[in-house]
Amino acid sequence: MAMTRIELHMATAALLVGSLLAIQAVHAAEAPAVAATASVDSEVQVLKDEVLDLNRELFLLEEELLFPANTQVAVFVSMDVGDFFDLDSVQLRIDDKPVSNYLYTKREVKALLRGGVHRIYLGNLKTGEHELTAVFTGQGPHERDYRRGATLKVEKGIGAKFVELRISDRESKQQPEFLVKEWE
Amino acid sequence: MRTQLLAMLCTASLLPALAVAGDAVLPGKPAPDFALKDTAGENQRLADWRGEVVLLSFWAEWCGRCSDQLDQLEQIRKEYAGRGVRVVAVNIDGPATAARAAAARSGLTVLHDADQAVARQYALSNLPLTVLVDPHGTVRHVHEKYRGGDAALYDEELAALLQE
Amino acid sequence: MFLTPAKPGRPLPACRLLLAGVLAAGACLAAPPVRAGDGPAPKAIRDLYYGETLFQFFQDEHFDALTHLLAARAVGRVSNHEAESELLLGGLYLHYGQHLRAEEIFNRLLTQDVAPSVRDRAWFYLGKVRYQRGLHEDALAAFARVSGALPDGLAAELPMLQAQSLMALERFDSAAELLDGWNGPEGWAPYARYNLGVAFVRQNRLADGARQLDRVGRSSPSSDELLDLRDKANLALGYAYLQQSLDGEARPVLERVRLAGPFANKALLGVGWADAATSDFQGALTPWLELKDRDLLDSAVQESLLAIPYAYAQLDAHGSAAEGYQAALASFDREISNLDDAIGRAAAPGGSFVSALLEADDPDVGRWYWQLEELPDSNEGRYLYHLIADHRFQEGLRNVRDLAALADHLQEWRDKLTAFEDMVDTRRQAYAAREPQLTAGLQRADLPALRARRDALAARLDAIESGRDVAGLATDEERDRWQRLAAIGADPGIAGGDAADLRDRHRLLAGVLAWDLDRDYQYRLWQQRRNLRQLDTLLAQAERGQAGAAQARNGTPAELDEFAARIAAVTPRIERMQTLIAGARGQQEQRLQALAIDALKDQRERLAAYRVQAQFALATIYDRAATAARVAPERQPVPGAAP
Repeated sequence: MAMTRIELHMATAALLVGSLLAIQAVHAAEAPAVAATASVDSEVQVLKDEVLDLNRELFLLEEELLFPANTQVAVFVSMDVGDFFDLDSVQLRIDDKPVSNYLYTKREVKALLRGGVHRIYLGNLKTGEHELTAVFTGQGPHERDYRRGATLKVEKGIGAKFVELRISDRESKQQPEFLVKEWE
Repeated sequence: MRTQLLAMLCTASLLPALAVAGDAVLPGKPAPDFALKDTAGENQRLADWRGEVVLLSFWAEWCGRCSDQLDQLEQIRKEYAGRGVRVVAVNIDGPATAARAAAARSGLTVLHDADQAVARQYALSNLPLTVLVDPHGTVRHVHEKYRGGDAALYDEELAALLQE
Repeated sequence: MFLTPAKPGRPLPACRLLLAGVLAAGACLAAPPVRAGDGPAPKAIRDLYYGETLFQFFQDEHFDALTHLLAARAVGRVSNHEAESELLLGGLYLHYGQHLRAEEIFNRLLTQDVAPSVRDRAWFYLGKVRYQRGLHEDALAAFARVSGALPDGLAAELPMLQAQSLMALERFDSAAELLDGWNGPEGWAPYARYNLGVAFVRQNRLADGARQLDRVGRSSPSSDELLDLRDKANLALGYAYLQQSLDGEARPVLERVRLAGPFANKALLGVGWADAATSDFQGALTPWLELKDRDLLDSAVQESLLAIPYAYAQLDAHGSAAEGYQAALASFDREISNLDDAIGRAAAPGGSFVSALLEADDPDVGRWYWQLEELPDSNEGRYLYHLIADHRFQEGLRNVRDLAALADHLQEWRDKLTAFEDMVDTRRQAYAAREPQLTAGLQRADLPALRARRDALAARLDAIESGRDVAGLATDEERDRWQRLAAIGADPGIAGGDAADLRDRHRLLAGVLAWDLDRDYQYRLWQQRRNLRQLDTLLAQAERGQAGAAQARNGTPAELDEFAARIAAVTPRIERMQTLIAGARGQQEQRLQALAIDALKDQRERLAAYRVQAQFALATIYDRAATAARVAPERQPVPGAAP
């Protein structure tokens, strides 16, 4: 039995030493390996950088071409609710035509609650007066369902027009309302 | 020459048109013109108020609904002050009453139709009778009696008339 | 003779092979899932487009957030949030891997006069950049400059980064002090503790290592990642004990590893060795037998194939032991053959192996793979799971994924540009068609003249009102009458003695006219004022319209030219990028292919080594049986011995 075990263990020992050396080798090899990785990675970095630059330009070009400043209208949705309010959807109509019916996922609601602002609509409108109607639905505290609306007359001038629809419960606690704010 | 002059003078028309009393007071028709004394004893004529929107209301002291409405009329007068609206309350009680004096003190224009002649012109049947007249002198809205929700209605109608 | 300081007479477990592997792999892989950390504290958002970028950032859509933020800054839409948006930009760059850009931004921010909270965050991020670039002393210096409270997400990351930096500088005791004394949000500290624990163990400071690993191993985490980490910590600690022959301590620790988790196999193996170390080979068989039918590419499973017959041999069940070794040989042979196939496929030119790998690519493969009831035979998903255990392969895969996303993105833009070109053309044509009419119309409308007439009218009304000039508002007919009456009144014939009647009538008619004019004056004045107001509105609209039309006529050709120029300029850039990216992808895929081949070859070698062990052991058993037969031929053959 002893002989068997010794032979077995010698074989194992040989493997063990081999593997220890292999581990050392990994560490040593890591240095040049890291360098090789770095050069490829930095190449990817450079590529990403250029694409980001390009992307930014294209993004602006597209916006200016499709939505020039003199007709551009953008509508944003933001939340300022103290207690928990689970927003479900927002519908937007302009001049009595439905332009957006956005359903908010849990993730998006969390992002709104943390202060994010969602651009729900970007479009073109002629100069002059237009009517904007927005309705939001959701669930408030104690599982109550909410549905509130707001109508706003918007005067479109020469520059781009921004409208912010703010769901807020500052005025009356636990009763979220739409506050509408215009920005130039 | 005299004949000439005479002829010229005769062709001039003399009398203005008068609204015929007894026509139903309907939206779209001219409001029957009248003149009555106010509580200060001065004569006031409806036609003088063309250019303003006129809210005309007939009332009596014994009519409970009327006194509710009077409070509302006072509110309207205050709210629309300086915006081209004239609120006129025509009292059809015979003798002078304390109510009439009180209403006049509140600031409303109160006219006294002691023999109900104007009331007959306006075919009064239910109190109060409220008539809205546009700046051209045309009747636009007629309301009989008075309910809680009517205040909002007057508001809407006044606002619409002012926008024209 | 025995290479461990173990007690004499005790077998040398082969698990040392595995142990070293576990501890080596652990040290470089314990890192928290990549998150961008908390954004800036939600203060009042004054620029809507800044808020929009935050909306994408909070959903971890970093490429979009970066694009939008860069665009917004380029057109001055976030001017109310200069410092904050710079910080956000820096954080996004950092997360996206653009270290140099990120560093530039943070350094720049720190030279400006910014609020303390901004300053603190800039130092934090700068420290993180330096840490990621391996400049640990500098990183620690940056972290030391954080003076106030960071937002929660960053505050949770800080101790981990500091501890990792200290560890990289081999200042393990300082790291331990830091982690022990930390009483802020727990966050990612467990990762640092794990790494520290492993580092201590490798330095033979088992007690210190155990303290760190045990703390992680006893925690009650809620997220999947932290549960995995807890398993890992218990596994590492258990194997550390085994290595020091502290089998009694090892067993309970290993039993803390979840049986339904990615580390279950190695834990089972370790539990078996713990039993074997106390010579409870029967007990050891239980976990090992559980392992033997699992995925043969898993090193724990491979070792179990040898450990089981080893245990049988210790229990003097040599027949079963021989069978076990034979079965092991068969399995190893089969798997080696599969690997040879795979290596052949991988080495073949054309890179179809890597393409197949990429097709099987699933970011969550680590999560679902070990839950499979039946293992696929030799498909790429299986190899991929083991390949991504290699850090470099994982990096390479991430790069290829990123490049593929960039390529798709650019192609989308390219398609859109064609549409843009069409739009510009259409607009040019539309403009050309309408321009003559527009010019003619503009020349016709003489608005200043109209305005002058309006002003004259207004002045007239003012004069009439101030003098109560009732005749001023007379109709044409009334004016005619008035004039005729005036003529009559001026006629000398009316002054005669016999014209008293006529004079009376004249006075009457003139009086009636005067009365009518007076009565209607108020009303007419109101009407004319109203007309004037309406005229004003119309005039204003017309003037606006004219200005707009003039602007459109003058500006449009230049605007269209500019769009056309921008589109023309950007098209070759896109093409160039697409070429570069395709090249980079090719390179990365080749790297992946090389790494895959290496990894597969490593597997094969390990299996070959185990195979040799199995053959050796089998030969020994036969040998022994033959010897026993020779030495005592009249003895009964040992029960269970192989014939």
